[in-house]
Amino acid sequence: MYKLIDKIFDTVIKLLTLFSLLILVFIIIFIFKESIVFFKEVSILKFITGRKWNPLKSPTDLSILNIILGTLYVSFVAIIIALPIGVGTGLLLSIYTNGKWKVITRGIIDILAGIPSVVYGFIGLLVIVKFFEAVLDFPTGESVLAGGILLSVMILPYIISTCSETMDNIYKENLFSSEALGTSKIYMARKIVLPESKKGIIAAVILALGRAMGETMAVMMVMGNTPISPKLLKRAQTIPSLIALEMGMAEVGSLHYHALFASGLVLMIMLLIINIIFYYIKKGIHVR
Amino acid sequence: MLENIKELLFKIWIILSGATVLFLTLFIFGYIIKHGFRSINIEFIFGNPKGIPLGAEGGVLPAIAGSLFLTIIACIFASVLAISTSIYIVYYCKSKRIENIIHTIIQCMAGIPSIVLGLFGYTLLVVNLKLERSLLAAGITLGIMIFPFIQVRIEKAFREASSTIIQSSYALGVSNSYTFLKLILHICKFEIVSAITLAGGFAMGAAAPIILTGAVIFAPIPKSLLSPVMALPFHLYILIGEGISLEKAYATALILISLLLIINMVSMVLIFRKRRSTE
Amino acid sequence: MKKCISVFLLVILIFSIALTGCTKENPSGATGEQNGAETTGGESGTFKAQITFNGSSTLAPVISAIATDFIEEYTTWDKVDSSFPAENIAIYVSAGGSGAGVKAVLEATSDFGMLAREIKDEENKKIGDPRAFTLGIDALTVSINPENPLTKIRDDLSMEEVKKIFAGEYKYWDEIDSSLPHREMVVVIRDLGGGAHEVFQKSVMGDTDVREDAIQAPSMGALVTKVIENKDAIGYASFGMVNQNKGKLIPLKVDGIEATKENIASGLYKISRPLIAVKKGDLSPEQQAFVDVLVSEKGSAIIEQMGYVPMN
Repeated sequence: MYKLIDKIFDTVIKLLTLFSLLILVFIIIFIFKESIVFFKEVSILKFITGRKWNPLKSPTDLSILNIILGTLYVSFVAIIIALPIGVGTGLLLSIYTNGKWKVITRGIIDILAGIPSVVYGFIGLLVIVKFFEAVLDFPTGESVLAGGILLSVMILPYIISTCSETMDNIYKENLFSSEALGTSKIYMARKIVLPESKKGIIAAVILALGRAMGETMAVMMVMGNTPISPKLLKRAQTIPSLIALEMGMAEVGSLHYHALFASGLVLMIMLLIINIIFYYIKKGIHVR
Repeated sequence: MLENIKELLFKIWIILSGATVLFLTLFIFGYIIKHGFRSINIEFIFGNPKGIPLGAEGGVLPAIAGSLFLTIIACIFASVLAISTSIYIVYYCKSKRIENIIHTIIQCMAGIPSIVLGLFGYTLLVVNLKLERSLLAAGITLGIMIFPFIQVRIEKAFREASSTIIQSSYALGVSNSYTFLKLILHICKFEIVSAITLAGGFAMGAAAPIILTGAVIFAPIPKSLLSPVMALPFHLYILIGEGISLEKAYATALILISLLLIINMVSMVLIFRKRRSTE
Repeated sequence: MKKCISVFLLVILIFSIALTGCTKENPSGATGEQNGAETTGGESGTFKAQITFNGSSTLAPVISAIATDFIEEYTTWDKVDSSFPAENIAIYVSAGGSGAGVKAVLEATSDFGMLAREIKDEENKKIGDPRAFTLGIDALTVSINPENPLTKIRDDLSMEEVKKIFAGEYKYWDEIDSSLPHREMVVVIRDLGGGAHEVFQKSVMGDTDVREDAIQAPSMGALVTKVIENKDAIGYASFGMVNQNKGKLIPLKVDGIEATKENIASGLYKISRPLIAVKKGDLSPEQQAFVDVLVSEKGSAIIEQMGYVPMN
């Protein structure tokens, strides 16, 4: 009796797992397939090094260098702003909170992470962009800087939670010996936890970069979306917002459509490359 | 002397960071609550969009209903698959290589930007499978988006479930399915539900994947799986993007984050109860 | 125990049915619906209680408004025409720009496409069997913010000046008139998918490109919002939307001709565009019923109320 149920259970589980993996693999293959069609028409080199994006002209100009730069630029600005704040908060959390407080602060960080990107974009538009226009007297507040600031707030929770997880472990490991030696908490934080957490911090950066580069809605609302060479105080465009804005009008099967998939592919490859770079950096750090 | 200064700076740094984070959280919520509160009334929550242009007056009931339905479908789709995959990896999979391959695939999945998933969902589900812009297409796309999120957490929960109980169960000759359903599921139920609700919150707030697969500017409460829906994040985007109504936008944002807050609290409470039950 | 397994299996069963056999679940008539977009007249046997519109962000609020009225008045299809079944009327509108409207019709993801420009020849050819209904005329005004000092000096720009401004040859406001402050011009345009983009390119720019760093608004509403909020902004705002936001942005005359209903209808004001709903193939009776309302007096009244020039 149970044997039959067991057998059914086994098969069902295996089927479902297979199904979900197939979907995932299918998606990846699908993206490849649709992008490759594009690369038959336009060479890869031209695509990623050219600077003009104008799919409505004929012949079409389809090159996304500016947009790639825009994506990278705004993500790095975000990381530069968010990293010190995130690491600092991580230290604060792992050293000075425990038990109930830990869960509560974790909860708050999770809530921050759960705020949808449209809401962030909404606030960014009304607060950051308005601030630039009203107080700093920019002709228009949409800029890479606005996008960077907004994005940094969005990736903060990721940095904080990854860092504090690592730091928690390190802190626990060393607490005993540290207390025995009579060192202060601050000393522990500065000299032990922080240096040992390098790997965790790098992991946090990877996670945060991935999130930042793939972010669509919030960035779209505050960056102005112009495919020009990005400068800090000028407008720019990122790959996700390019796809979001133009996918509505690119016919399935047209060159434009394949170009959008190709830019998505480029984005994913960039993420992969960054992941690999950081993986090697992580490996290179020797922990005691 | 220098040491003391350095130490002081360090202290200032981490306290300032923590204060900034706290300030940001309070600011975000406070800002939305302050501006959105006055537009919240019974009519807003339970009425349909009205006015010229549409949305400037009236309510957002179809959007609330649409978002809830979308989240439910996404959660069902994702959790069934995620639970099965986790069961397979933790309890059935013998080879480490296969396990690594599966993990890599899932990690790749998590790295795909949500907009690309939306594009994929549109081409596959809406055009090729002819599902049309619908609750189903959008729900599945969202489900794919949150699948890695749930799977990772559930796998962790399974692994952390006490292996002694499980080993003893097998030692006693209890079958796989019985072990799983009666024991493991019971032990991990808080974490599983918590992961699903968190993911649901994530899905509720996502606008990018549903733009092409099911969200429309104007629709009544969805009557079938195949009808298009309004969704809160998309509605917010339209209200602010098209300059239809700032107050309504604030109110929509408020409703959205309130719903998410409730979901997050439920999730937190579940974790608390789990702690209590294992202490 | 048995209950758990059976619930589990049931969920999987439901899910797989939903995924593969969803056509059977649709209350209003299964496969006829799926083929309806390709076969002309193939809808005669099946009734679809829902109509979908996709396309121009200018036309979307108009259709939404008329649809809301329609639904409020009739609620179920049988009240519109007693030969229709008693099903709730459902009309869905989404916007993505005129380009998206054409795409939706071609890919059969929407019944009607909304366009705020003429249908191009290649598009007509691709659709194959288009049925187009012109609902009204809209114009693109060259509008600036009321706080822009230009409003006090002049109310008119020549076509040449407009072209130069949008092409980026004039970068600062004081290049138009030296009494204006030396502030950067913030040019706002529609993105590539917008009907307005193509209309403006054809009627005003000709072969010159619009400046690369102009702000691309994702919808006409966003463009209007931008001009309303930024005192250095200038953009080609839709005539109807300018009327909806009287006083919040100031339209300028072009070559001395003001954008008024008469000038637009007569063609004197050159930068104008038709508001079109297009479908592939024949209309089903219920779709015809709604389209009749769109082009009727009632529809035109709403179109006029929203600031556009109705067809009548």
